[in-house]
Amino acid sequence: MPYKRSGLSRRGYLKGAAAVGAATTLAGCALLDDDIGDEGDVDGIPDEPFRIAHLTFESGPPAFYGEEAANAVDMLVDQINDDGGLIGEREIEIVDRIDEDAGPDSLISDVQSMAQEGDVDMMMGIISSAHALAVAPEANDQQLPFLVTIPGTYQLYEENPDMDYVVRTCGTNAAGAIGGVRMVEQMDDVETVMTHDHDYAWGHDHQEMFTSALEQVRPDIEVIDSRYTDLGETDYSAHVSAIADAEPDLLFSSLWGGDTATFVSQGVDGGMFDAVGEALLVGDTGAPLLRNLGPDMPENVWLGGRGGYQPNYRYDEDDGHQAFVDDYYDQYDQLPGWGAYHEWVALQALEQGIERAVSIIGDWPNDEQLMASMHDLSFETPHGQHTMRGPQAAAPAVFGRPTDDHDFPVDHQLPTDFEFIAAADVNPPEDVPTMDWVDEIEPL
Amino acid sequence: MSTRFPTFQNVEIRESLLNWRLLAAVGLFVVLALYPAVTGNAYHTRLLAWMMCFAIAALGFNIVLGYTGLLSFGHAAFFGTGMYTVVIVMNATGITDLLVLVVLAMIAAGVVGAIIGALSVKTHEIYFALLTLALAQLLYVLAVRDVGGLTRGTDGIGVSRPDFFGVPVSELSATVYLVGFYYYVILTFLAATIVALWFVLRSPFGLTLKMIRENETRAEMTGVPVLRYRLYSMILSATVVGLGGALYAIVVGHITPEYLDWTMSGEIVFMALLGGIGTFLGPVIGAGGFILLQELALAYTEYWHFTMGLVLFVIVLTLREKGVWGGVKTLATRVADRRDDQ
Repeated sequence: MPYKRSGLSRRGYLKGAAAVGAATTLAGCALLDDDIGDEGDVDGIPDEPFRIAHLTFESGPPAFYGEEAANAVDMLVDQINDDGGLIGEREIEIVDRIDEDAGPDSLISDVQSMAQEGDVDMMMGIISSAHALAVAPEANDQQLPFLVTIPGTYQLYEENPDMDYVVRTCGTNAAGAIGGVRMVEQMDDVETVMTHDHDYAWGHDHQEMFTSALEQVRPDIEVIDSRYTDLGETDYSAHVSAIADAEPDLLFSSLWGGDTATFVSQGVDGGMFDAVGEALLVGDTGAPLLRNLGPDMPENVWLGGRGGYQPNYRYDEDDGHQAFVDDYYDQYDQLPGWGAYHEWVALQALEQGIERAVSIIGDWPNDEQLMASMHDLSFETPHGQHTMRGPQAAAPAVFGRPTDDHDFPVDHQLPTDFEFIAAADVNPPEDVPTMDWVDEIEPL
Repeated sequence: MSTRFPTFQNVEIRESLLNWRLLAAVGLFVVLALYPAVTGNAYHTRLLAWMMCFAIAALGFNIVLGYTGLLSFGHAAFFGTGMYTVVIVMNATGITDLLVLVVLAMIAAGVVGAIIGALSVKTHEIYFALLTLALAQLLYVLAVRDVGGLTRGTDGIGVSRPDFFGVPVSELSATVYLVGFYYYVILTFLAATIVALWFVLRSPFGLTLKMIRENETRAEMTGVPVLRYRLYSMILSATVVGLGGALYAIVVGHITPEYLDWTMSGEIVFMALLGGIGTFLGPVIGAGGFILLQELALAYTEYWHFTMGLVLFVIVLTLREKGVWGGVKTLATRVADRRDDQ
């Protein structure tokens, strides 16, 4: 199935993009410094491909997430190039794939090298929030465009508010954590909650946001225990027993990747899901988890996180999503997971940003214009319009129940009965620090 | 009984100062000093800065392993303490002077070294290694837990560029700061560390450490307070490693608890082994070689972990404690001997 990036004609698209561009502030200011050209008069498109260095985990425990991301990038770049490239005129080349497992020392050196050699037009990817916090300011200092696609730390822009060369197209971890709170807000029969998260910033941030916000919107609910496990933990038996003994009405967890599968599997074996009322797994959980678990997935579980990145979510309503899922399945014999979705959304932002920039300035954008062109973008994704607020996305939260009742050619469950919580309800207003907002969050 | 290492030739300092090695070292430092200005290559400059910071750390580590004969797996605690001290002091007190920050970092690392040393120097070999590892991991956990809100947990904490004696060099761009200023600060500290350790380790203090390493019982019988000297070596080692950490904090610009983790201790051990723990300059070569090897392996293969492991395996198997630098020296000696024979 061909990749359907847009149902609009290029002319119509550019007109729409130009209208959006004119309405923006920051992006517009940067772009309108230059002359506005006509659509058909695109000068200065470089002859060589648009060179991207892709940062992702190729080794270490998070490599399963990185593999999905690399698969999606390879597939989508081929598709974009089959259509002529960016704005149909400039192909993309993945010139390097950098293993995040090398750590921030190497990654920062790589940034310096790429900036100096000038052999890369843009970096994209990265999974670890800690790596993002180290690499993004360096890339900005080096004026090397960096499209951050996966890490969710809310601190990225709160600590570095003035990064002109960095854009993040994924939602922050607030969407998953507060999305979880919004779900619990509607559950009348929940009186006790336990949390179980990773013992590092991702897990602690989720726990803190979830419990703080829950105290505001449902003060009648008691958080009876918060448990933590290391990334890559293999034995959850003590936690499973503790949770099963406590019999909370709700279990909240931001575990992600293979750890969720191990935890849920051991939880099923230990009778944990019989003891809890509901489980809310917000750590980017979906098709890959269900594929790993096979028939073991319990029914009293909500799966999801920051975005509607489930293969069967609005599959029939969104041609672009349908094409992405089908192509990914055809190529890799499995449905895409969150790592793949995040990269897909990022490449859409890149394509549309460049189209928008070209429509306004009539020329190929320089690095700063390229990044500014993605500010305040809005484009169609599985969860509807994916909206950039300035340089970073504000994602909604989407959760679903696992079910066998689906038409997809896979022998595992998929989420259904989706609950959508709008981005405005799970993200702070612009310029308000996330934790300040969480501490004073209002019930819906 | 301590691990045995080859003894060092007890040469007069005056002779040492006049030999070809000193001239070669001076020549190397001149090349290093000129490199950024001649090439203008910021990436290579950063790579060299990275290597030099870890060279200082590996030199410091070798005081304990190569000279005192104690294998520590806790030196990440000193490296990380140096790094975190810089950023915590900057944020808490507003001090932005580079030298003040570096000195405070060295003192903090020395204090941590004194504490860990006091708790561990009575043990030997594997027990010493495990005890230092365990004590260092306590610091790692404190950093991960963000105790006192100082470290910001595993997401880490960004480091601003410090000034220098009131001169606002921090306002320079990142590249100019590194290439035009900070690189030379690190180079100066590396030179100073090498010179200082050269004299310290050839002083009666250094010779006493070597005596303890070679035969602890004999040292004790001759009246040497062995435990006290071991503690001194830990404090000196920690202070130097802390210096490396403090300097590196500003190069990397973002500190995470991984710099306190045992894997970082392992990297420092790897560097010392690679270069040669039985030699004075081996750790410097090892630090440079380790980083260069990692960067090359990363650039050319996705099996870079395997490559690194294989190289260490071959080095340890063939050159043992002499490492690369010791191997080169041995080879040079053999070639010279053969030439003399002919």
